[in-house]
Amino acid sequence: MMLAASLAHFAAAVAPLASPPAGSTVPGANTSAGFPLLSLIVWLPLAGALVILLLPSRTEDDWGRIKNVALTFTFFPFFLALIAIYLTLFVDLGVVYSGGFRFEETISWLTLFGATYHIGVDGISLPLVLLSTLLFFVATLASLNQKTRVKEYFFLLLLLDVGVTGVFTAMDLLLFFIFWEIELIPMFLLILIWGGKRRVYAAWKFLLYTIAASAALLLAILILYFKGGAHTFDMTVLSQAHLAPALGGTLFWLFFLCFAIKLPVWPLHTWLPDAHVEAPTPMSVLLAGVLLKMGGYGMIRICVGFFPGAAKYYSLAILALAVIGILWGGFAALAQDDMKRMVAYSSVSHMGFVLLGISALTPLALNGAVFQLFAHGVVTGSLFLLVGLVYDRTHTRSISELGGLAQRMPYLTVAWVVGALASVGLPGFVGFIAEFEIFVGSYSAHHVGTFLAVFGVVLSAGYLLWMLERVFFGPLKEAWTRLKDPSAIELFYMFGMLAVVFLFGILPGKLTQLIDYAVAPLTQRLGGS
Amino acid sequence: MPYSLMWLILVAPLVAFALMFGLTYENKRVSAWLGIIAVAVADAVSIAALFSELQHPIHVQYGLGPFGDFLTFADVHFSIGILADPLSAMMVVVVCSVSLLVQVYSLEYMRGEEGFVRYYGFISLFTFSMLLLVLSTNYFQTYIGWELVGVCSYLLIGHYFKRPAAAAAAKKAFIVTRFGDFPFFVGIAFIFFRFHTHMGGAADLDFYAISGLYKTGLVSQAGLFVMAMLVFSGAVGKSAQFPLHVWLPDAMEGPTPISALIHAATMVVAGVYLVARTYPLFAANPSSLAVVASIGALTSVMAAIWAVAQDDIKRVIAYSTLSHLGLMMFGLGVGAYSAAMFHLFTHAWFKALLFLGAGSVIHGVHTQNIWEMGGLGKRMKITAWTVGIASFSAAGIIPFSGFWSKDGIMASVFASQNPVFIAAAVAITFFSALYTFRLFFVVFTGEPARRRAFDPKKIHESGAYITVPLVVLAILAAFIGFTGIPGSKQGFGQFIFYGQHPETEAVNFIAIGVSLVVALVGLGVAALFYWPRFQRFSAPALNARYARVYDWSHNNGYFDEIYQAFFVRGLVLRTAAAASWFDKNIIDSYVDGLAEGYQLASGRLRRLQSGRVQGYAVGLFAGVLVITVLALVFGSGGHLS
Amino acid sequence: MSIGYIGLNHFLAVSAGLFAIGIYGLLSRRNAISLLMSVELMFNAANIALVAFARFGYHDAQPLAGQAFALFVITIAAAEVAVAIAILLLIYRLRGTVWVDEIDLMRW
Repeated sequence: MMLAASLAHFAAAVAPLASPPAGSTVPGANTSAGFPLLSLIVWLPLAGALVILLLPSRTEDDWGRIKNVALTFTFFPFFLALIAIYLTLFVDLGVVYSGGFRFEETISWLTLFGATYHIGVDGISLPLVLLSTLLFFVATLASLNQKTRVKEYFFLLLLLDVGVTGVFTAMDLLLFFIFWEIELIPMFLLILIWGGKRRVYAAWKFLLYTIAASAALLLAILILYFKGGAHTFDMTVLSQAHLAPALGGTLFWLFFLCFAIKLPVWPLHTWLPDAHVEAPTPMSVLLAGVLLKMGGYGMIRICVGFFPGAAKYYSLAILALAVIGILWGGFAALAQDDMKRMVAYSSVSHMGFVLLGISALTPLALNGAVFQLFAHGVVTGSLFLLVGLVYDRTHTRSISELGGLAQRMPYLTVAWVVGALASVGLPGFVGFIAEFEIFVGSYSAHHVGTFLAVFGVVLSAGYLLWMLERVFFGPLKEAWTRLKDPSAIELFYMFGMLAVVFLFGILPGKLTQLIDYAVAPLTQRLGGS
Repeated sequence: MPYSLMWLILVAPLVAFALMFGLTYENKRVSAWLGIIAVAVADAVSIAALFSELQHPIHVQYGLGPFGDFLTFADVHFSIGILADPLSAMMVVVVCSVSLLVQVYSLEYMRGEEGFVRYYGFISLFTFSMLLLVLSTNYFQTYIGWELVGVCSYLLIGHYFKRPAAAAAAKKAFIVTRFGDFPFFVGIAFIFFRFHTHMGGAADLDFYAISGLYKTGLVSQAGLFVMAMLVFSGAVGKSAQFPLHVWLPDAMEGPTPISALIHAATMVVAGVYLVARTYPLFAANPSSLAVVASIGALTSVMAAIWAVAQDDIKRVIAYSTLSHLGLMMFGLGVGAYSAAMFHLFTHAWFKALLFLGAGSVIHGVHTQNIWEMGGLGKRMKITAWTVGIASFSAAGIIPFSGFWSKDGIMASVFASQNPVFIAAAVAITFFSALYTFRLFFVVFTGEPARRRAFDPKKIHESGAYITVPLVVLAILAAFIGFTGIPGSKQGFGQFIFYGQHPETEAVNFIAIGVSLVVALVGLGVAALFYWPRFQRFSAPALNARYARVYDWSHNNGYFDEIYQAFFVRGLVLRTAAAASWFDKNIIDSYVDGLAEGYQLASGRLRRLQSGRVQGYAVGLFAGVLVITVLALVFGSGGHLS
Repeated sequence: MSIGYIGLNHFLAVSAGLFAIGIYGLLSRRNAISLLMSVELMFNAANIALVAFARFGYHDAQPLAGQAFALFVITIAAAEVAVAIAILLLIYRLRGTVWVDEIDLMRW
């Protein structure tokens, strides 16, 4: 009897570590009410991954079944994200305006540490959730001809999905960190196993860079947890914490280091061209379209959101990094012969625009920075798809080897011209709105810096149109006389993506309003400090 | 009131474009007529608007449906709308009419060409974009139209994309104009920054709302100068002014009707239009106007000289366009606002006519080298007559339209009493007459050239789809000038003007006289060199004697070569290679070196991993022992007991 | 300290002795089975100490915690031995020896 009582006692002592007592709630936090929309978006891919684990993978039929499962479990999160956008934009826009988050869910988790399973979205993260669910669906579509280790491939793809959507929805720093880490290993393996010739080098480079970022992130989170005074990981609470300026500055740079690697910011950008070039096409799409966005999102949500004072104080340093990145990426893109490498460097340049918006800290510029995250995701995602379609047919990405492809692949050429012009920032496409907001907004803060940065737009016209000229126009080279245009399904996702690029380019109003509802409180705090 | 219908002007060509690419791409006839009907509708509405403005010149503007709040949140409000005032009414009529005529003309000119529907689709898209720019109510919308016409120009110059020259020219046009666009973009940001909080309910960057703010002292004179120069940079790029003029001659790689529509009558005057639209900004800072005048004059003189040494029929006309655009800028710079706009108006007709006439010639003889033509006047009578009228107009000879508009600019230049400007104006007039009639005489008079590309007996006049637009344009080029006779009370100057409603000015007979005499001298010199009947001098002999001048002129002042050598290869590509090299060899060598260092260290350290269990056990216990001892020595004993 | 009374220190002395024997066996024997037995000795040394502490009331709030831990340890030790012997069996089949200095599968 004594023993049994002691055991029960012991169990009670360790219980909080393992599972929450029934019915306990965290004071002050809303408990989730109703339909767990966001949880479904985040966790459905994991369910899909588990289903795939149980399926056999021997024959072509098995592969087909696995692909169908992957398609289903990436489509439904996308569908749910569309519903979330619809509800937010057209049914009750005002709810977001209160400065709060939508679709919040709070479940007690590690009460001992003050960590909760708290997820939600606001104007900054909702567009990114939409973007990532869309791109994962498209990436799955683009992976349908995968023939090696099909089961493992789609398992990892779905696992990656969980990590990424989790990062965009987490409102608890510990949760944020865990999702951040979940994303890492699948992408490492996806590059390492399914990549190109130098995949081992590229995968390890990606892993080491990102692990370094994670170390900085963890350190910063722990310091914030212990010094923040609240002993909580809840981001809404921590963002209001009053820290000594010196501590705030240190934390700002620690977080910044982590997100700068991901964004990437010059001079931490060299993992990106290697990783993009070696990754299989759908993974390049996800890397550029979604994973880089995690860096930008973190900067806005945490660096600016938590430490507005430091962000303002170090604004010039960030501006310098942004301008160097924009010009550096643009010039380096001009020198590349590999199409994929060129697009990768264009990402460095275009993510510099995000950093420029962040450095300016005006409502318009920050709004543009978030918009640019979305815009760059769909535009550069499309460009990587298009590079992949060229590579599938020609088995080369070398610009100097290609030539005159327009005569054999008119549809692909149309898509390329549209994609390139969108990337150049032509009005009517989504990139223009972002660039306009960023440049006009950042001019108020930095005159000369903005002038230099806008030159990046000229550079992007330079490398993209020069590439178009050399690859698609001019006389057809003999090696390419037998090429064929993309198949129906490829045309579907290719033009589907471009349709999104176009749609938000001519109707940006609602999206910018949504973003503003989240950015306005941020900039108000900036004005105060 | 036709103003409420003006959205049709925008929507009709856009719908035509969408239908052509969406539905009727396979059907050439339907697609072409779709484009023509759409622009005819737009033209009808714009003519109605123009007449309405003529009766009651007023300023009307409204947001374009849902796009009126294109980008609106918090305190920013970027709008797309429609602006009707005399200036925009005049411009829409020019754009729609020239587009209509060019599309009719192309029915025959482009028949059987590859990419026929693509061509018509892009013309419709271009027409829409140009109208968006012209009807713009604010800088934001202007920039959208600005970029869109640029991309249409890119797509249409590159129409024959299989030809490397066409693909390169298209890219060059886009990138060179971007060099002007990016300061313009910064200028817009500057304007937003200064005036955003003073808009008083109007949309951000609104032209009319801002026009009164320049002089209020919100911006210093230096600030205004920078602002004006940034905006002017955009105009320099689009209107191909020095030093960004190099793209326009190459743009002649596009189909000839495109040269007429985009690179003569409409898109390239967008820069002039921009300066006119934002004239309050320039007027608020006199030194910016001086820059505008100087750049305009320089471009105009240089282009006029180069035009005399060109062999390609389209290039001669392209340089002529450059020269006339420079003249318009010159006029704006010296304060001849009405005259410059009038010249824009007349130039559109006679320059479109020149290009379409040249197209008719090329269509007949299949060469563009003027020395392989000759004597075409007898075989292509309508073309010859209409091009003749255009030449008289372009050379500025009374009573054709170009005379009246050029005269207005001359009067202002003379009134400025700046000797350099006056000399430039005289030179422009002389060379304009010289190169225009050089072209006319070489192509149409005398006998077919010995080194010719055609069989003279088989040459015949082009069909009705080509000649009818030519005749219509010829009538306009001949008579439209009478709407702006100096001294008239109901003329162009009383319709489109800057500032106060102008009194009827005294006619400056000195300016008229000088310009007329100089133009006639130019004509005479052209005749003495190039009209076989009156030929007294040999042009090749003169070119040989002044070979250096001729070569300089023939090679367009070597600007392309200089830019290519110093800027493109010397600076840009070298910087690009350097950045790429730095990434690969400096940054990555650090990264890889770090990784290798770790690898080396771990290679040593792993020797500890002997694989023997008892070795590990020794280490384990030694460790426990050390920690225990340390705890006993340094720890507070109380906790251990 | 009378001869008839056995206190905490006696238990601890036995525990320490057992533990020392265990360490000696672990470090000096080469037969893997002997190593396992040595480990068992050390476990039991710990058990004796745990139970002794509990018996002499070193945790008033949870008087039976020591015994509970000892039971855990016994259970886990049993499981551990089962697994270890299974592994050893396999190693013996593969290599024909259970002498630990001849088994260095985990060498770098």
